[in-house]
Amino acid sequence: MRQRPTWLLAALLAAACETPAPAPSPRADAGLDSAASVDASADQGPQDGPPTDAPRACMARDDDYRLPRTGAWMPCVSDRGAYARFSTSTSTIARVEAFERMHRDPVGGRPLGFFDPARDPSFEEFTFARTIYLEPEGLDSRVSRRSDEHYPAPTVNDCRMDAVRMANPDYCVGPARLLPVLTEAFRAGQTGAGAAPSRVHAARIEAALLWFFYVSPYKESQTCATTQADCDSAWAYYTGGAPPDAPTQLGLARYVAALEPGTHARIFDGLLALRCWRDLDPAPTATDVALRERARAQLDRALTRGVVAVTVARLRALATATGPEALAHQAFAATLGPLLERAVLTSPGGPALRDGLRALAGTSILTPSEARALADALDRAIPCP
Amino acid sequence: MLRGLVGGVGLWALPLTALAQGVAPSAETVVRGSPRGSSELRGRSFTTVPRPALEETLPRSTPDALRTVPGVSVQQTAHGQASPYLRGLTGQQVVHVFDGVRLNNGTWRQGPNQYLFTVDPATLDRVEVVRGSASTRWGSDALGGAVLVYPVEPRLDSSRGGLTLHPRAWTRYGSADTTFGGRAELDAQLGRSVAILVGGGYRDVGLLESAGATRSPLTGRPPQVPLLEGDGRTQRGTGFREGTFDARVVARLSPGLHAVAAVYGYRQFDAPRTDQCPPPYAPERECLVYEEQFRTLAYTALRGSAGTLLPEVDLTASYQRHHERRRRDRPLSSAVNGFLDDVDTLGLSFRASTRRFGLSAGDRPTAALGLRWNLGVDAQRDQVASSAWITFTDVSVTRPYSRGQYLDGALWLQAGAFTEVELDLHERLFLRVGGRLSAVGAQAPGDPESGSRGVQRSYLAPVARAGLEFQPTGALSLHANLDQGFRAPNLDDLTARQQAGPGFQFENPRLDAERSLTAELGLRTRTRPVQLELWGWALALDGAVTRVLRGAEECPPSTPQCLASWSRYQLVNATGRSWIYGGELSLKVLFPRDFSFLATLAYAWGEGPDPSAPPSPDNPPPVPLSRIPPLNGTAQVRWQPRSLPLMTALVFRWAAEQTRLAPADRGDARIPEGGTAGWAVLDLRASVRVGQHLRTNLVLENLLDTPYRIHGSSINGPGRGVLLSLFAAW
Repeated sequence: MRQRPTWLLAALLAAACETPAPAPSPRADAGLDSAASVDASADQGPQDGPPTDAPRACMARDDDYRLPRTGAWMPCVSDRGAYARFSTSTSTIARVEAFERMHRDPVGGRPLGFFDPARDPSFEEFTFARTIYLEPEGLDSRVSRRSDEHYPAPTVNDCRMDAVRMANPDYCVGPARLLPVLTEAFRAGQTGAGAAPSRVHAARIEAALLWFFYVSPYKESQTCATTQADCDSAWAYYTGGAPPDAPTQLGLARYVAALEPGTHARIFDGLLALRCWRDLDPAPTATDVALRERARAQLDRALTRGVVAVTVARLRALATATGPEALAHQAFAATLGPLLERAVLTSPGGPALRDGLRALAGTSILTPSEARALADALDRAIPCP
Repeated sequence: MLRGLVGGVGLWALPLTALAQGVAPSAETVVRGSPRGSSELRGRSFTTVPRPALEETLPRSTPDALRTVPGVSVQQTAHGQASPYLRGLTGQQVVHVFDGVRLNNGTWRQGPNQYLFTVDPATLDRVEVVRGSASTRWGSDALGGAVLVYPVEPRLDSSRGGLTLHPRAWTRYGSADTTFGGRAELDAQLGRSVAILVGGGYRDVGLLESAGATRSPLTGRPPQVPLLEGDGRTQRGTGFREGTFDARVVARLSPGLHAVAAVYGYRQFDAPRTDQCPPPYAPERECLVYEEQFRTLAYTALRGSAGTLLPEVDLTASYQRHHERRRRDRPLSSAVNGFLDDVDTLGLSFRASTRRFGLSAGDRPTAALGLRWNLGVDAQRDQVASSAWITFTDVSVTRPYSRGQYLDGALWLQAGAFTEVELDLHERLFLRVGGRLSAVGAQAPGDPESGSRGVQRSYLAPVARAGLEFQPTGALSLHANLDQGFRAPNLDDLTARQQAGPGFQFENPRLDAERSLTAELGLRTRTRPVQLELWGWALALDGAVTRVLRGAEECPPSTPQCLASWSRYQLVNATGRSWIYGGELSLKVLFPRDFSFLATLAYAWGEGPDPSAPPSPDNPPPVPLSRIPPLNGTAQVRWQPRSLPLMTALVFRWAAEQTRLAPADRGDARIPEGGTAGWAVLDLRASVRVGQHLRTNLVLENLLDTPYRIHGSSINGPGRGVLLSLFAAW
């Protein structure tokens, strides 16, 4: 196996050391308590180990929306502690459920766990999962038009157009970055092409869809300014429609809740913040841009930490795994690398960490120490929200 | 022996599209295989588009030939599709009849459909549009009216023997959509009693260039569909290819009785549905394409006189197959969704009209009193085969879905009998009354995997009509008509799942029939310089089938597409009465030096119960009905010198804006936000005959290059362009 350059590892560790440690302190609000009680059984969460933040909790910022509500926010509908939907029908929920069905739909007696890194899904499982992914108005329909509003919108920002998509791959993240990964992974899984075991392709699909679930709330929170129901979509893309303390979580929430209940609670706080803003700014076209951006920033910080936590867990699992399972973990982390690059670049030591993330896409498997180092660096770069 | 004949008279007679009320042009000594066109139209509000008008206007399709008919608005969801609205209703709410054979089958969907487009206008002798409910004569679906199309007959001249051949050919070009096409046909007479007309055509149609984007009257923004190319004019999701073939044999059995055997085929290939190419928000190369839109109609008939008692009889047995194969291309995802729907229809009908019987007044016969009796029975059986699948194109793997748009193996049957009596009460007063009893049945197996329940429904529908005509003078007639209509829910209503314009639409097996009543008053005057026709009408629609917005929790089980759609709809019967009111005007004025002026005007206003409103004793306010056409009209100045073989006409077509939108319209990408803007376009038509065998027709369309869109359409009208045809006959 090709060894990673020593200087890179040193840089990673140095960068990690430079990262200021978060100042975790117990959070006394009810939301956290309820979130911390989420059943994160192995059956519902990722197979990467126990929650990593069990002994710690995350401190909200002073201007964050949280319960009980502080003076930083005016009274609003979110104070009841539940997300108040604008519409009783939120189509987004079906897309999150589709992700869950891809993983564990038992139709036809198929084995459970399409995304299980400990086993290789069969050709039929890939075909079945792809059929779900391609359901009309399903995941593919939204992935293929998803923009990442973390990047500035180009003057012509219609990502449906080939020219716009190719010229702005970061902004047009769905069609430009996620769709090629998904299509290629499905193809490889269905044909058995290449030397990689099929679980590697499944891991890429899993990671790409989690990336989609990560960028979608941010996009929907923006368009919620003109279409109120898009706030519901933001909520649903993370939660899949499940309450934060439900025993069964869905989609990205399933992963985060199993690993870091505190982060999960903070993400839900962010969704409540979003809803609170739209309650306080109820005009058909919202006008309080400052409040909106406060809510979005709160949500984004928490969501980013959630994805980092998922990635860190997989890197740590990579450090202890061998063979095809290690390949699957690395493929998962490598797929999320470009997403994380943007997030880590603003942190101290960001460039070095970026290089470490890019190394994941290489042809060789990280050594256990490299994986641990990268996980630690990442964990510190994007700390508890 | 080959003898060339040119239908010179027929080529030039009566080219007045909208004003040829009640007049069927006669070209020459033609034995008509169909005896229709008389009793079913008398006293009604109708317009005939004769063949010369079809040749003059160079319509892109049979529906397009109706664009200047008052009370008709031609909506287009795609370049290769078009659906006429009659008095605000269309598709399955209007009956379409080809030479006495119903085109409507049990899968015609709610809203506009493309099926009249599958009739080649080049094969037609005339189109008759009957406005208003008309189920007494035509059975289910005739709520808004009837579109009756009649094919060209082979020429059968009993005075000639031997073999007579009349080859004909024409070609046409259109610049706005780079259309190239043509047709060749052979009209042959074998002996004194048999005539055959055999023909075939082909057309290759390119992308349609509009005059630019239309704008919302509310926001000024262009609608979501269609997607325009970089030139801002050319419309994505347009263009198609089509081929047609037909053969018709007429044999004279006796001087007044003929046997007819005919087959008409239509083959359309690769016709994109414009509003789905791409769908709103989808990648630009995603597209729903009608790969194959085939219709084959074969029938045999006995028509003509069965003696002095029954001078008009028509016994027709028909078979029709509609084949529709669709493909949704998703190239970025390396996937294609496929759909296949086939409908096989068997039909049988018998219709007859007696001669006029004189009646006695007191103890002496009075010539003015008379009675004519029309009667008929008909039956139709549709069987549906439907499937759907997905193909992963990068791995060449295909997987079927458990069901298609319809439930595979579904059956739809209808049968009915009608009778009508025409009473001449006085030499100036006529009464027409009639009734029909229809029975309709629908049967479909369930599909547990998709959560589709089986269907077993039957409907019994009695309807009636009455009409009074008073002729105070020979040139003036006044009309008052009451006509009932009904439409039994078909297999589309009861079983179909589909992505419709406004969202995902799912079935409702509990639907009841729609019933209508048209009340109309009309005035028709025919003097030498002025011909005027004016109708005012009201159409009451009970239990109107309409789309209601549904929540995700109301989706059928095992239907992820429903759950994932932004909007979900189900067809329901409106809980109250819907109303459509309107009027139509057509005017023709003759001026010296062979000039004439023609104008039409039509208006419709419709509203009904809000299907989304919760039940309430407060009677929630009604809402507009879907896609009711706005005020519209035409004006035409013609010069057609009798001494010269030419004609010119300047035609002005216009429509006001339509901002009265139904709730479902507001989510329909075909309709700009807030409604459709008004428009006005100017066309110039000309035709010239060259010698004995050649004729050319020219249309300069949209001279001012005005962007426009007919309300409810996905496509914008053509920009400035030329339509040209060359016709040769021997």
